[in-house]
Amino acid sequence: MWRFIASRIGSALLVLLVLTLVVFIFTRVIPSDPAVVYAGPKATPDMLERIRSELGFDRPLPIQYFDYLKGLVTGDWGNSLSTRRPVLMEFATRLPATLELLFAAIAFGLVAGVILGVLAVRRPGKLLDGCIRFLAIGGISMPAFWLGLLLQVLFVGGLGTLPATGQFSKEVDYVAPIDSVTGFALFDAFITGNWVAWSDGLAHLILPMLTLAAYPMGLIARMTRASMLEVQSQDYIFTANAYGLRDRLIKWRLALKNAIPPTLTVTGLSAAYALTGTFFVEVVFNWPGIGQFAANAMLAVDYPSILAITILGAAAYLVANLIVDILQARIDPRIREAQGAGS
Amino acid sequence: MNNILTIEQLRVEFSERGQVTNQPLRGIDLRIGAGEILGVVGETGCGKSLTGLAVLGLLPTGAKPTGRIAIDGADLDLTKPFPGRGDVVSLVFQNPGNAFNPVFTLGYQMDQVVRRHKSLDKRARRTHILGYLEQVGLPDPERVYESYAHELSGGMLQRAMIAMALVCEPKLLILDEPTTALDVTIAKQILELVLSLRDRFGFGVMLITHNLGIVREICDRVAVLYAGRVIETGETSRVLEDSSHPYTRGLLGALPARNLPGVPLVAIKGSVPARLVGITGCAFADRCPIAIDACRTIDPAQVPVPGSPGHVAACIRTGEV
Amino acid sequence: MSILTTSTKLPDFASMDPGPFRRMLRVLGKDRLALFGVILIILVLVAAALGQWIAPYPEEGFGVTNVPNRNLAPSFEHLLGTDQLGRDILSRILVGARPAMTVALGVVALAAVIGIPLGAIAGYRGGWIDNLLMRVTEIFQAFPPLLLAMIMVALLGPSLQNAGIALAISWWPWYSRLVRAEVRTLRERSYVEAARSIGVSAWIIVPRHILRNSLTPVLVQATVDIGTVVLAAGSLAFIGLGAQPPEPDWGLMIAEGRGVIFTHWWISTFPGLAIFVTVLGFNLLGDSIRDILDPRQVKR
Repeated sequence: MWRFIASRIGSALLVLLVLTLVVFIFTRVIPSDPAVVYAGPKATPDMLERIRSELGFDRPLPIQYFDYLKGLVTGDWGNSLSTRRPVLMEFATRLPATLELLFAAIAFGLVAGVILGVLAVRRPGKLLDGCIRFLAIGGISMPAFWLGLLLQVLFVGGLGTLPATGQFSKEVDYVAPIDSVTGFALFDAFITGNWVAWSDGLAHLILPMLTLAAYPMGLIARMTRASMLEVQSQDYIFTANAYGLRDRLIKWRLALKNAIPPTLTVTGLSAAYALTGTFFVEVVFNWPGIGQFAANAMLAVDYPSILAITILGAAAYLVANLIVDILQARIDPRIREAQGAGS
Repeated sequence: MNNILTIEQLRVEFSERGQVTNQPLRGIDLRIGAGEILGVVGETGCGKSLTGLAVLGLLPTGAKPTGRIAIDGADLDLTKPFPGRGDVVSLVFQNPGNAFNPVFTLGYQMDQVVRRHKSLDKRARRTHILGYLEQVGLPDPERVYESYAHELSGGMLQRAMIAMALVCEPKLLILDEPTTALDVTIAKQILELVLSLRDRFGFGVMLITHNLGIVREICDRVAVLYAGRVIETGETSRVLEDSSHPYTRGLLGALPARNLPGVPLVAIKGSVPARLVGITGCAFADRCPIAIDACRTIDPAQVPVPGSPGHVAACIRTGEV
Repeated sequence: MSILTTSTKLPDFASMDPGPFRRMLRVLGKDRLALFGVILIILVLVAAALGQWIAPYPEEGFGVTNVPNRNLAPSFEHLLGTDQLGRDILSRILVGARPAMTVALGVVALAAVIGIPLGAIAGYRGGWIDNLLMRVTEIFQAFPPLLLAMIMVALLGPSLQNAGIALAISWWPWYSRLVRAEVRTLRERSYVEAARSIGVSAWIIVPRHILRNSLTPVLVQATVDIGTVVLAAGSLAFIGLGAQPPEPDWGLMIAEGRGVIFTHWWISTFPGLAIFVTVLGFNLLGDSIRDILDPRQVKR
């Protein structure tokens, strides 16, 4: 198992090395000069020259890249060109909010998607199946940022039931400030028993979570349906029927446990890709996560931040897949054995 | 003798838009007594497995059964689907490798079956199951209980499958090609196990197979199926040694063990028709070496084979040739 | 020359299959949702072809402002309302269909032009070329394509054209892998081996015998991808990394109406609906025919 994880991390590091190299070279040859962005529109050529040497742009490329790698390892990821603060600090303060949203959305998407997928195979090709299929494909086709706006109009403007933006109401800071334990605000509110902040945060979480969950939910529902159909034609399901086991047990436990591992593969991939989705959802819901920061960094050609976002994207893929591998091994003893053999 | 299973005039039809498209069972008559092993033989597609499925209530969707099936004296209502009944009839499959769910332990799966049909607490169920695992000759029942299907050999799995079939103490066991997927030596052990368990528990067995060698070895009686009908039935020795129907003779002719060295195997020409609809006369007539014109018009009824008590054949030339 | 004619007369086993497109037609006959998808696609294509002529206020569609009419709710004059600069939203959407489809087709075509030859070479040659290419595509696939495109646009400078280039660069590895897999199975077929054994050059075998037969799945996949690219391009425009004002881009229009969503909901809603309808059409069609290809494929 550990060897398996190590080899996964090893190949991810390789991916990371190549990606950062490519992006790094890109940042040095691009038409939009970061020094110009940094200095602002009124900079004189002298100032630009000084900034370039300050940023180290006048040295040979390989040395710059090597320095950058050294910084990565030692924890110096450079300063954001737009906020002028260390990139690592920006990430540390914003990432928890993004991860909380991401986890909530994937968990919701997984549960809802699996339930829909199992319901769909009750009578394949019939009305319920068709409706679920439309819902699932609709979720995949929906622009997340647009869905977020629609939900805002509906629940905030129309029904007035849920808060539109932000992670907590302003009052929370005065009435029931959250003690930071892990940095994950909603989780901290829960474990410190701060129910005022917790329920307020939960209400704020619902809409962005639904928005972000639409795509994974649709994907997972389709995948669950496909693998349930395959599993249901297996001999062991026939055996279970022959021994008179209850339909509910067969479907939701005996069959589903076989259908879950392929579904998890899709879940992992969509979780990694949902990181990009959070960028849009955070912009719409004014969520204090990494997404808004990332969007601004890209518009401002803030290259140290862009490089850090690249690393984040690759890391998301690695972590999502590792979690999937571990879960699959827990579910399927054959996968467990294959991984133990060290592949 | 009171019968565990009685099947009378069982027919199964498939239809499309009110039109019958296939009639794979065209009036099956069978009975199995307590402690009796009945071999059901025939080529692929003659209706053996479908008969077993009908008894279990697991016919494929769209199949419409008519006739009478009575298990242990109680008639089944064929007009609506009925739940599988591990406590009265249970099933052992052809391929033990696929018959167990790969992501649950064997013990868990057997426990679910016991839980469904018996009111025992958790520990009693475990003891009960371990007892049967031991009965089927598995060396380390505790270990088998905790194992997954992929961790055991085919022979061990088939033993475990038989244990699972027995845990609810059924009256009838349906074995569908139970040894086809196994090595010859393992197959022999499994058959001996079935025999000894039958002697111990006294359940009836419906053994579905195309292998006449197995039938000869363990079956008390045999029913030969062709095109959805029983065309010859009786005690095993009488049917096999003194076969009357040309189809049974054909099957025996195609069996290597019976032939002397140097004598070529005789195959039955042609094959079972894929769809059985609107058959007049004897369904075997086209492949039959002794067919006469009348065979194509007269629907053959079961007639006693002369000089062989309890032995019937559905051939109008019975006793002639 | 005689060798060539012999080889082309060999029976073409691959063509005995009715082919994905024939099967696709058969599927559409039965599958109402897929048929609905096709109708949506046709609507979008008609808008792309004729948008500027059927739009009620074509000049506003292209960006001419009419400030006195700003923020009008949907009415008979302006079926979908007007935006903050008084432009008719229906006209903007209709005129915007063409650039949206052009970019989508362009991206898919560019990705295919890069991806197909590379995949064919890797699949046919094998060896180190294949190894190298597969490692490269793995690196691409270990990264969210949309994020990769965002980063590239950020560095190249935001514009619709750069968004297209960036999307194509993030997309080609999928086509490479698809073609490679097809080519690897096809090159083992007897008619290809026969051609090879009589010395036909790879330059003739690959395009003539292999690519022709492996292209159909790629074409089907590409058709389906058009929807995904429309969504991706819209997303880029929404955060300012795609089309720039005053272009009639759907994603951009959503962004423009975002600030006033509670008072003038139509400004963002209808352009979003245009994206949704387009993507939905292609996805409904694609879902129905995906089983013909690999049912386990995902991408975004």
